[in-house]
Amino acid sequence: MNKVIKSSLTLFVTMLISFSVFAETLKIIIPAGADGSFNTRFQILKTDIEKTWGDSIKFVYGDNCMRGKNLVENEKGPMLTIWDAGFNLSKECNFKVTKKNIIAVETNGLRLCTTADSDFTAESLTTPGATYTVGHSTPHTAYQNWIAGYNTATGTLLKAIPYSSSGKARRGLIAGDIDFVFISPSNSNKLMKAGGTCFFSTLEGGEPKHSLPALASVTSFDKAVINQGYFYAVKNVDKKKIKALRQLFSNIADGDSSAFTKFVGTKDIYMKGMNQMNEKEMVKLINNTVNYWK
Amino acid sequence: MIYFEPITIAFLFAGIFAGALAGLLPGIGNTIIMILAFPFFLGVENPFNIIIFYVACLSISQYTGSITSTVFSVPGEMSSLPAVKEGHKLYRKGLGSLSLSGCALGSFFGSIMAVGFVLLVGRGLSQFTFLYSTVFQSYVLMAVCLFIIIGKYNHWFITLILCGFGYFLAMIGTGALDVYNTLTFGFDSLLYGLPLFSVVVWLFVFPQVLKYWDTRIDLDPKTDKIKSIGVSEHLKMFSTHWLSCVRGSVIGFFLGLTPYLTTVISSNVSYSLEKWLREKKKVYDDTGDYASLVSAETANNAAALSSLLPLLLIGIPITSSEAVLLELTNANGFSFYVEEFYNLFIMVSVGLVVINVFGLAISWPFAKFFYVFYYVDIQTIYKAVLAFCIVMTLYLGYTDHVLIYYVAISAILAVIGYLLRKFNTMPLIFVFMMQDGIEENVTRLLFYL
Repeated sequence: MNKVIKSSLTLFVTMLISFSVFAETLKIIIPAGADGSFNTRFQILKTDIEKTWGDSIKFVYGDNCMRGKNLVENEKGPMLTIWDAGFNLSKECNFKVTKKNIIAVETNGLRLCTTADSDFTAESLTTPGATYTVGHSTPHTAYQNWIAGYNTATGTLLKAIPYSSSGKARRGLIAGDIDFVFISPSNSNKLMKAGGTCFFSTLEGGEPKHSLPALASVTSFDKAVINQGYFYAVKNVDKKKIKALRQLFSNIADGDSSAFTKFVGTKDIYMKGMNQMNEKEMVKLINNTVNYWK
Repeated sequence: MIYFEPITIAFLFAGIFAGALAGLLPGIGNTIIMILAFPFFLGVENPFNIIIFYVACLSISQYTGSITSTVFSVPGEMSSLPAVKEGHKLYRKGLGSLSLSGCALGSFFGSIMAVGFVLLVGRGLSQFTFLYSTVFQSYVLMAVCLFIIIGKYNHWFITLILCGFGYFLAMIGTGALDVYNTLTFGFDSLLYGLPLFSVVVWLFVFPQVLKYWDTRIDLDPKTDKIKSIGVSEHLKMFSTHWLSCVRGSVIGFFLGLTPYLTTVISSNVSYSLEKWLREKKKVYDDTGDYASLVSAETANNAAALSSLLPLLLIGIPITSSEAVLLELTNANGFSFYVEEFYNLFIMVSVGLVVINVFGLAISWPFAKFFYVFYYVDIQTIYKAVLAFCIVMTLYLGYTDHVLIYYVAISAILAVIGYLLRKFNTMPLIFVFMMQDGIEENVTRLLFYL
């Protein structure tokens, strides 16, 4: 019996070592939880990325930006990640984007929403002295600073309640934990589908497609216009594969991909790849977003 | 995100095999099986495959646990204690096959009753949006922690210290909600926290193996010649005690929701109640009572299913093996939510029917094939488990490009694990795995105050 076990173990170890030496798995590091919109994006794009990469891909969840940063920094193999420009406001979460590592960028607004059975109105959010709880996802510091600024400018007393992902914030709203939620379009679309109401969009002109007025139209807060900026970046990936990944994301942005309808079209995400702007412009877009949040 | 695919069948059978081992081998329970399977399940694309593996493992271990309890008087699982008391007595008087069939049929009956009950009310559960609320989830987490502390595995004070130590270890690294580093002492590797696999292996599997190292199994069950009984007689005997089964199913289903104690409390309470009822009626058989045995075994399997509900509904595990499952599904990008519960449960139910048919077969007509496990040196199995843990620690460290860090942490944890070998360290690893959830809920609760 002992001999059988020893032989099996030897065989097993040999197999493991062989696999790990020859496989070139692309790690997709998500600096958030599995139930957030970052993961939703990559789940939609999974097949396309796998095809482009030509080998297996593996998802790693960081739960928050700081853990995500640690994962990115400690990663010795090839990896792809998505990063919120807002993360870079904090030095603990800062991931330096460069012309060499950037793959594509994304922008979208945020929405302030509530549930179907709520009797809150748009005025509730702008009445001086109003005290409501507003749920938000990461980066917490950025959102909490933003809500503090909004309160100062508008005279409201909104309270920021942190969640580890926008999906959890949406569910917290449904459960009655919070009065409003400050979330991404993809999660607010799910909320609206279930009968929820969104009052404002943080995009400059609002979102006429969804009949959402601009938040900037009801407050004097100078940061009421928010263009969330995200970037896709790689590490330890050779030039040829970087080019292929850039092409993939450009095709998605062009609408020339099966993922486009599911990803860009229905999620209200605005993606830009190398067909739309060069690497330098992409980096500039992200840096401008960071500076705006400061 | 979750779906049935042909490979799911392979996971189901792997779960059946693993569950058979978990039930048969003393010290190797479902938690250890899940920990050992951990490295293989990282990167599984379809998390349903992991869920079905776990469900198969959990259910089958309840079936095979009865075999060792009945034949060798060794409870593979704590929930099999009633089978040791009554089943082994029946075995010794030559009614072993009747005892085994009673356990198998009772387990089957309990599982199917529980599945039917959840299917009946499951759709309505998705309407209970309060299940998402921070306050409700905090209550559940508090209840789980309380039951862990008062659970009978250690003195409550020892358990409290172990829980605190588990929480402390989990705090190392970056917080779940706030981006602060705790106890990293400037080491970059510590920023992401202690590696989960190393912690659960060296602080749970290792002390557990050491604790059971000297287990000796009585290979001569000293039984009389087993009487040959026809299938119809087995079924007749079982059907005569249908009311005991129904009682066992109901008690098992509801007590299965008791955090941490789940199947253990269900089978033991059901057994005690049935025994008390029969003593009252003066029909209890001191030389081995079939009805009490069947009631306990029915409760056992009904509880195995209901204990899964908090996890499948809101993602809060109430046993340590469920906590490992949650870690695995999270690591593979899947979270449990009320709105997806019913669809998930229907898929699980289909699997459960197949699993229970196999369970019935292996713990009754094919039970004798499992006796062979007791002719294998148990220490050889423990050695193999430890060798596997070492190899896997090295493998995970190597593939994560932090081999030295894994080795150093594992060496320190192994020393601590050795010192803790006299205790049940399950509370420690449970709290370690749940720390993020506890921290997130407590942080939000503080915001409301």
